[in-house]
Amino acid sequence: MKFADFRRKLAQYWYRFSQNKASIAGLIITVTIVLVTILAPYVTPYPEHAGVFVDFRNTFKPPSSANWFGTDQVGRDIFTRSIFGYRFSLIMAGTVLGIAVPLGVVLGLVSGYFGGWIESLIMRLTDIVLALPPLAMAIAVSAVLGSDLGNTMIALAMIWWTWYARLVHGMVVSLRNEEYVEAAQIMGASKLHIMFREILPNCAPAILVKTTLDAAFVIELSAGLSFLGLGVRPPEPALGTMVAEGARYLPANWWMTVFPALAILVLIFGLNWLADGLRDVLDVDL
Amino acid sequence: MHRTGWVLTFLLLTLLVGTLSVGAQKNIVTMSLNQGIGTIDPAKVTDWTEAMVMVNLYDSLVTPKPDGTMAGLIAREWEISPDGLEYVFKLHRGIKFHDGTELKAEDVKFSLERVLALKQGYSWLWADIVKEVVVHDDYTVAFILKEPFSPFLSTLPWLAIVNKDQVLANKKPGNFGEYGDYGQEWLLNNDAGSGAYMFKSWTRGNEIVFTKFDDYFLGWREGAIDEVRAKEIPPGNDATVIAEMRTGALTIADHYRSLETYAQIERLPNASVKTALSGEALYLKINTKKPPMDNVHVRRAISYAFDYQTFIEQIDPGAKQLRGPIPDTIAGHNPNAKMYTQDLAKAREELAKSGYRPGQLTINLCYVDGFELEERLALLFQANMAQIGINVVLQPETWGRITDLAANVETTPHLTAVFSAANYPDPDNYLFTAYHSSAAGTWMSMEWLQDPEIDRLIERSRVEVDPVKRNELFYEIQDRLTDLATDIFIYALPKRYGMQNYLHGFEFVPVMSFEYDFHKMYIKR
Repeated sequence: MKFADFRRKLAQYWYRFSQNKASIAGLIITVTIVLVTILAPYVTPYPEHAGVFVDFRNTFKPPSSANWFGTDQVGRDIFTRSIFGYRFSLIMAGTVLGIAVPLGVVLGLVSGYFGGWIESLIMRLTDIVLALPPLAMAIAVSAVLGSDLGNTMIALAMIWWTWYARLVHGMVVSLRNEEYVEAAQIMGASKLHIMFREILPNCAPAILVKTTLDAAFVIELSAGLSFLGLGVRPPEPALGTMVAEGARYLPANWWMTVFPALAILVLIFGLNWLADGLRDVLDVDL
Repeated sequence: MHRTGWVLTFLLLTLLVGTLSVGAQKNIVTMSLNQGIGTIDPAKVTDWTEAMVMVNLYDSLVTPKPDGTMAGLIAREWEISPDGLEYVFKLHRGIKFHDGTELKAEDVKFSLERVLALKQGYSWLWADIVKEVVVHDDYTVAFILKEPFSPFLSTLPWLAIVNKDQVLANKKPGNFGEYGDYGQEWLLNNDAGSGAYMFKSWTRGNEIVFTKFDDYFLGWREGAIDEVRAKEIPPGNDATVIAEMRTGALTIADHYRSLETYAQIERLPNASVKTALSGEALYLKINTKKPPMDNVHVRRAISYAFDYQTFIEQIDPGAKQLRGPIPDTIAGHNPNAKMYTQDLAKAREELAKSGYRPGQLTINLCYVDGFELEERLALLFQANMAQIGINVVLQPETWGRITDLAANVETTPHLTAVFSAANYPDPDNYLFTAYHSSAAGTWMSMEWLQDPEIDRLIERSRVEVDPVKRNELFYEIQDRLTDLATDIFIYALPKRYGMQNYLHGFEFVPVMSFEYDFHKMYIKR
């Protein structure tokens, strides 16, 4: 594909994407949050509040110009901690999907392309793992191995790959008899080449859309886990933990719960809208 | 026509039932519990919720008064022999158990033997102390001690008197010979007491209900409480406590809620908060056997680095810093014991003496997960220690897990936040269970001190009959403990109770859970 063609194609995609206001909003929200999170130490008003810090003279301050989201039970700025709290969510989503997507895609490709006993083995294993509820699994692993971030992420990744294995497997089964695959085989292309260069690119749009949607799921789940006190050690900020802590002081000190909860909500909306937009553009049917 | 007849009958029945229930209106009191109840068997009771049940279902020989001295309950009067070895109690006549039979000296003997045989709950109070119980007649019973044990009388509120005949009638086969299982299985779901209230129902993890025992030997006053419902509301659900205090669904909010919660209850028009300086103290127990905390200079360094002032002014306003291990509400407290205050220069000096450099040490601090007061304490401690270059890892755990960790010196964290309740209002209560070598391995003794000198002094204080000499020993122990910096002595807890304004008669008593004596309370609107 020539560069000019590529640009034309991109412009076409962008046109379709920009037709939907929600998609644009989703893109803006997601990009802003990711940028702000990366630059958190520079853009937050009190970066030291995310670490070892207490100020008992300023506890339970309602939202003001100094503390946009108010302060918590030991006087820390909730706005700062919410931004830093996104780190936990994004690291969680990044790591879990970073492990689960490649693993699931490779297993799906292999099982779909080779068929036979390999297919049976991988897909039955997938069925078994799919039967485990992710939240319960993560809690169990934390209980056995100790509740730290690494264990929780591994637990989730060990479940999440199944969705990709199943998705890719289904697509490969229908694609492996396409004419361009047969043509490549006749020309003597290696199995690896056929799997990764001929078939995989045709699955890519679906994988991309599903990954975006799943990012929202994992973030929601990570908020649930940190709400239960798993995966984070105080004083590290996590949005779920902040909601849980704030809930003790409801309804009087509502800002402690409401703002971190809204922060989760906004990110999840953003990712979902973005995924919707991508689906329209890439014409994927999940 | 036929149908109209049915409707009329139904209406009449509804009316009748309605009238009946109005006629039988009861004074029901509901209280919150921050934690579940493990058992209602009085021989197995340990924590405050279980003790609250015991206080109401059972009676003991003596009961603590608000000033911490003992008043007779089942015992009418008593005599102590001059050598401190024999305690003779005369019992009231005509005290009835819930099944209508009379409480006699034989039941007292049986109750103690049962506790000692089961080796649970508060049996440690008497295990090495009581030689035998002798029944002189139906209303006279004597306790013979192995050696003088001066705080003996103040331990007796924990000896709940059970109905011997009823327990034995319900025994199952077990390991205790003629006593079978000592009625353990039956007492899981029944009571055999003579207390002011009778057990009615218990849904584990949710609610326990007891009802008034009309034949209670002390009688009843007007407005007495007919039924008590104690329901579990975990520490994270303070919003529920506030909401139910507002609507009146809850009569008493227990004393383990967040300060914010009491502040909000105080603002309600229908409820208020009662505060009492308790004998309950908060410590950060230091595992003195685990490096680097085995180094006395490290322990002193952190004792100097902690910001006590902020804690008692901001986290729990109105509190008082502890001077040594014994709160000043307890006779025997040493008013001249060393009290550490925040002094970072001294802290750094001590750290330098320890041989460790700033930035080199990482220690962990364990506290009850979700207990907001301890969590704020932990965050403050972490920030304070950062100032002298000690890195603190916070380790929130469930209470059950903490009691497991305490069983071993290796698993006991460097520091653990622990509240020590006053089981009996005597310095011995704070010293023996925490610092004597033979008491090691429980959540009360996470210091693992095992210091021969302290052991010797504690043993001497337990057999000393002369109160003046006893106090001298206590002073010496307190001086040595503060010098060794075995704990960070934080503060004596002001206990707060949220209460509906129509509830009267509540009286604070400095022994765990004895303030929740519903016989003393009444309702007046």
